[in-house]
Amino acid sequence: MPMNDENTRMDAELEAFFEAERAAPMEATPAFMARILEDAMGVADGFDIAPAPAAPRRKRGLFGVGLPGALALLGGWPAAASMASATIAGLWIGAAQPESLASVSGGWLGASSEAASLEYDLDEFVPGYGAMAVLDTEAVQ
Amino acid sequence: MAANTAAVSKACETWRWAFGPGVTGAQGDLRQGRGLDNPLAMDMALDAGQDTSDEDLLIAFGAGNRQAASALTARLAPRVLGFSARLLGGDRAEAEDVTQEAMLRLWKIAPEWRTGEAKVTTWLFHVTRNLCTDRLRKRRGVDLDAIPEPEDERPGAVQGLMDADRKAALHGALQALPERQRVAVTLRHLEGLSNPEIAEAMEISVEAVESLTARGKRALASLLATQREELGYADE
Repeated sequence: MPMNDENTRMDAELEAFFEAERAAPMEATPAFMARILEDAMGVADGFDIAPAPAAPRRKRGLFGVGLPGALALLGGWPAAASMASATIAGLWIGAAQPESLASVSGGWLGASSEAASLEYDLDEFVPGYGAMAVLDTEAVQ
Repeated sequence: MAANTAAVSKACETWRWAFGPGVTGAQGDLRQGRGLDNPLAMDMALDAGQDTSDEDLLIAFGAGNRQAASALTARLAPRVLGFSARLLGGDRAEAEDVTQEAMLRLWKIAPEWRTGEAKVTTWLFHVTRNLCTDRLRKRRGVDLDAIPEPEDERPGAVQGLMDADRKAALHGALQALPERQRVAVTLRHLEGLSNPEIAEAMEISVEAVESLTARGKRALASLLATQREELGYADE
């Protein structure tokens, strides 16, 4: 059919033009690519600040919150790290010998001192502590 | 003291199990918030290979994997730049602006991207085409006879000169087409999209795509035939 031949010829003629353009598209410079990536990092920063989207997620862990939720509740990993330090310090103190407590805390917990007048007794802060001290004498060292 | 040490180290071990080694900040960027629920996001290698689809990369980026943005940029930005340059007649500054805006919209939509709806490339071409149309509307007094200077002339190589001339001639002829024909022909013969993909990008039917490309090519052939005579090419 003449129409098909004409189309075929037209296609063939155009193809040389298309080929020339396909072979040499406008090239992206490295600086340009860097700008695109910079935009991506900026948007990604926004992801971290904004709360997670409401998409249904399978939650693990206590209270259905999961680890990322728990971290968010604690106020992020810096706060969680501070808590970790406090936890470990508490464990250390608990495992340490009792005498060290007196040296750490000074005269507050009833250790005898000549300068008692400069220090507060604990039962000035905790009414009734003096009464409880009676029980202390029976505590194991 | 041995017992104390054991107690402390047990506490540390529990801590590491619960929160992972990165919490203390030693491992640098710790944006685990959303990525933990997406195994693909965190397991993805730093240099995502060719096997990872555009969509998987985009979803990973939306989940917090920044490396995915590098792979996506390398794959998609040049294509978008080439496409917008073709629609805008070869103006680099405008093509770069449009590309940057299109890619920015891609980054922003990443967290909401749903699988199985559209292809990332067709979505990008769709957005880019609309941005180009806006730009073209704002242009005043487009000179349809103006053929832009070829970007890379290789003096001395006849074939190279002919190619540069052909490229410039095509740019000029494309600019002379009605916008929808230009978009359809460019997507088909320069970007290599299939008709269904073009239909998705242009939000029209496949039949409409075929009609536009047929009319566009006839118009181009007519315009270029005139230019071929002017360029002095004999039978090829």
